[in-house]
Amino acid sequence: MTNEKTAPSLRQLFLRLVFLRLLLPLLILGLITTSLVIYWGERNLENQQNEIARSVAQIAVNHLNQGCQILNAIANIAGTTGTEDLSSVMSGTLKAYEYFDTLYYLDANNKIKSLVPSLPRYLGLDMSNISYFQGKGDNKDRNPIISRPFISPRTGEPTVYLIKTLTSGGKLVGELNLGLLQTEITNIIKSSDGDFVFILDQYGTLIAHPFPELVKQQTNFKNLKIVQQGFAGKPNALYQYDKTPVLAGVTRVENTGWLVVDQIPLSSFFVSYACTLLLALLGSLIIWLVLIWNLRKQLYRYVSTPLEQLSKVTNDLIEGDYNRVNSFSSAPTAFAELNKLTSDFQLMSSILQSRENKLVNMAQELREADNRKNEFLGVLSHELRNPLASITSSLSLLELVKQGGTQEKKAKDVIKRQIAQLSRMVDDLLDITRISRNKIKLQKRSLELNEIVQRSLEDYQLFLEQSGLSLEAMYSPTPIYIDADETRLMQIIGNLLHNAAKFSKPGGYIKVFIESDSLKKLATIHIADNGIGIAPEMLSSLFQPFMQAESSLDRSRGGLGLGLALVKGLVDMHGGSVSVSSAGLDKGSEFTIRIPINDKIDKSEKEICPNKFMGSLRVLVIDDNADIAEILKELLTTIGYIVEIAKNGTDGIKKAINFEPEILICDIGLPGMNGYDVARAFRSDQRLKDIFLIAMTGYALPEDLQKAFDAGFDRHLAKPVDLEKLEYTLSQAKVNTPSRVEISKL
Amino acid sequence: MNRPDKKIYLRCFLIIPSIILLVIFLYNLTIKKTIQIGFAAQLTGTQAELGVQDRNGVQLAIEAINASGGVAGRKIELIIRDDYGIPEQAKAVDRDLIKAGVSAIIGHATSAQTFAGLEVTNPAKVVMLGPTISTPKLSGIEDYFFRVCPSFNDSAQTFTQYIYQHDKVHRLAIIYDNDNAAYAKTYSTVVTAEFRSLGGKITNEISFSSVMQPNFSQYLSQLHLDKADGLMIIASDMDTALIAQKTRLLNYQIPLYTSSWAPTQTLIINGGQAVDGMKLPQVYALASETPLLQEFQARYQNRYGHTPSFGAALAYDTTLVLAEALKKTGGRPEGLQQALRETQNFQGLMGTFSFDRFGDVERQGYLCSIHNGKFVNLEKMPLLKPGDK
Repeated sequence: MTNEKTAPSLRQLFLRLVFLRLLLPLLILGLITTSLVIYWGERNLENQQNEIARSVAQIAVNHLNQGCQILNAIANIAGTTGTEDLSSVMSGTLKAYEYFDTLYYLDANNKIKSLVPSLPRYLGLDMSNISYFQGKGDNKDRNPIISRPFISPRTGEPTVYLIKTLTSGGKLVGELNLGLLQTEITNIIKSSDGDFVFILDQYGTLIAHPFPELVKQQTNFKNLKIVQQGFAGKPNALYQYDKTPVLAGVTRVENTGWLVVDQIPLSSFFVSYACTLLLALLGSLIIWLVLIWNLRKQLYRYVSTPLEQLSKVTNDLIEGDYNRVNSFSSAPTAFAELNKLTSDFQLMSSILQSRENKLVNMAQELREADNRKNEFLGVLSHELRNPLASITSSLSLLELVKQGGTQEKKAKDVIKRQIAQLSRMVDDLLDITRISRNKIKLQKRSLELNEIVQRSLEDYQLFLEQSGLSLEAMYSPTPIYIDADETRLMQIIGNLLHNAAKFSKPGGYIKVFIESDSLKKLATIHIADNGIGIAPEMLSSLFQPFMQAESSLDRSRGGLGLGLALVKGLVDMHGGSVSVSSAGLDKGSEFTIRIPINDKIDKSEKEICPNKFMGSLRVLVIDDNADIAEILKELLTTIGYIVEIAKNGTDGIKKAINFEPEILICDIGLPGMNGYDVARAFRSDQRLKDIFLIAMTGYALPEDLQKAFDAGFDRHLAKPVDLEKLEYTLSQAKVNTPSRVEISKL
Repeated sequence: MNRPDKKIYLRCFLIIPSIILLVIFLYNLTIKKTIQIGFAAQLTGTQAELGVQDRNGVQLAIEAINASGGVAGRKIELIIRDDYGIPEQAKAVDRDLIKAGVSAIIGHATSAQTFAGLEVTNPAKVVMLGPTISTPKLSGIEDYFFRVCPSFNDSAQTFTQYIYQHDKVHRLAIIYDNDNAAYAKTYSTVVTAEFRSLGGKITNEISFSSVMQPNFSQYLSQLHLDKADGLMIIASDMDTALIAQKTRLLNYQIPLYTSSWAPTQTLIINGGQAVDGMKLPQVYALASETPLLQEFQARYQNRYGHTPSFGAALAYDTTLVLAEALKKTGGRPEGLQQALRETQNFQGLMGTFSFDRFGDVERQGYLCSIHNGKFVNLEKMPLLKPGDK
């Protein structure tokens, strides 16, 4: 989330990438290319300029050489024919070679002796103050001296003196007009593209220039960078000329020290070279921009938009708006990853939705269960209070009445009934907990269903008669064998009978009938009544724990509403099913139990059905509570057991060695050695290990049971224990102990 | 999502052109920063030497000023115009220079063109500085004209006295160029008046037109006949050289004198032996040992390949004093006249000088001669006054 502020958007990222990684390198590449091309172009241009300058310099050299040769020729004539007739030779030459403005012959005193064209104004003038004329004829050079150019006062054009010293002592002087050079550079400028050629003398004064008036004005360019470069022998320079940047090449004219400069404005150079490149660069830039614009649009359409939509829908998802999420169909995407993301997102959303639905339902169920539990706790306290109140008042009565009287008997009956009621409730609770935690272990064996049902009905006969109900039973004509836990099966039938009795009015009837479906291999027990019936909407939830069809405050029927849940749990454990039907309120109801039939009948098992035990077995009771121990001893002695009592584990072990009991009833919460330790001690002792160990404790949770079994107990009885259950458990000890060995031998 | 991107584009489209415009604007500002000074003189033709020397002196000064940072942080740009020695052309080029926006004009080389030019510059209130103008006709006028050399009135009179008293010339002939009558004719008048007042006789006063390229022989033959024992030539360097040569060609060994218009290299080159011994007054301290002048001469020689004449030195002084005044006005032409008038004891190449309110100066004058193809100082003159009209 912190990244959201600093991280750029996809489009910004795209633009940044495109600018930094694409445009910038392209631009740099373009600039480097341009620079290189400009550099080579410039080098090329410099060479061209130097070429032009050299050609002009060559023209100047030729011009001067020509003049010198002519002067030499005249000098030769003068040497052979003398100087007397020189003017005719000179005038002939002047006509033949028009670049000489003037030719004159100076005598030894540097006075003009003869002059062509004939200009009497100058004839006889003394030229000795001109430094070039001051040589005394000792100049033996073949070639004439070339003077510094000057503007001829007569022609106004740049001119040089060519001075040839004659052998006779005089001098032959030609004023060579340099206007030819002006013409030459004008031609070059006309024919070329931007070339600007000018010629300067050895002091930087112009000899020829595109603007001839500058020449006439004796303009000096010595300060120009290219001129200084030229004097320094460097061929090129870049500088400002008349406020324009120019590039120039310079060449020296042989023998004179003059310079020829060819300069070209940088602008015209750029027009020819750089402009093309720049245009290309600009063109590619525009193409690039168009491409980027288009790419950006496409990116927005195919990536940004779907992503934004996805983000919006995610927000919807966060808000739990599945309708919008489900109606979301992504914008067109251009690549598989985004498509995958979209479909994954849709999948995730549907999974989340179903998971949430489940959770909501579960929460609803939990709430309901919680409500039922709370309700049940209310009921439980109410149901517990009633018997307790009866017991309390009976006990008070017992204290008042005399022993042996009918009142005493009545009071005791009340207490017994109420304790039975309480025990039943606690048993139901324990059982339901065990079933829900899958802790009940069925002691399954092959049973004959008619016989079991008959026994159950016998057990309840009296109870039903007392409730003013008639019982009608229809047994199956053939024996039906099923694999079942006898006790649990009787519990199932008893619960249903109890239930039917509870919800029937006196005078009502209960019909039980048994049938078997050999095709489906199912035994069916129907228990029908004509009681208060069940409302149709309650039928589905009737077998849930803590559920009673009528949940009114008066609780006229009593009970915790666990009976049917217990029935269902136990039936399920037997692999069977239980169902209920009712035509409606006050129309009675019918419960149907279906249990799979067992084809493989082991008739012998019927023989080992536990009988009521008559022998006198030895029982050792270990309990630190002397009262409980004494009462237990009394009870067991009454029904024919030989009983010894020990107060703790150590004592118990000692007594057991002497007493050699068949059965040990041991409390768990003993001082010192606890019940589990005792059990382990017994199991580890060779003499005691076969003793049937019964734990009798208030610790009655499934974990406690497991702990007891782990420690070595054979049975676990929760306190308080009714006599019947105790008797039954003890009878199992007879089966399991010495006689079990015998059975296995059969 | 859209906004930041659009902002970036907008910014790019707004900022880049404005930066370009700003750069162009700033660049233009820097371009405009030069101070323009006009120069007008005769640069072509036979009498161009003085103008060329003047221009070279001005150029050398401006190069020095610009190299040391210019005036008020701005470079000086010189605009050069050729007046061809024609008064009408002088007016035209001065108009042209004023139109170009020059802060001041240096010129012209000769008096005739200066008179013409002032008809344009004075009404326009543009300062004109004459480097070599010495006609007394411009003295004592309170206008926009300034000059760094004094009126020739004093020097001409002193020179005349020298001719009469020292050289004992009592019959003097005068020949002058009427093309520059403002100078030459005035000079002639001054000399004539002085010479006569001394008791001498002016045997001849001959005027000629330089542009006609006369052959001077017939004038000179006449002088010879009239037995003048001294010749005063009031003409340009070239004409003076030719006249001098012609006297010797005619074998007329008359002492020659010339005005301060002629002393240039052209005079010596073209004068040959004839100009040797010719005497003249000038305000140019030829043999001066002052380091400033020597340094200037060396610089000029190096730059142009020949020695500077009085014109170059005075033009150099003119340019420096103009730059000094421009410094006071921050480069603007407004107040330049006043700034120049206030310039006192300015250090020139040949000593200090000060303008009076008429734009005239006092200077040391020298009596010179030509000896073995070189100018030499003969003696100092009394201090030359600006002179009255």
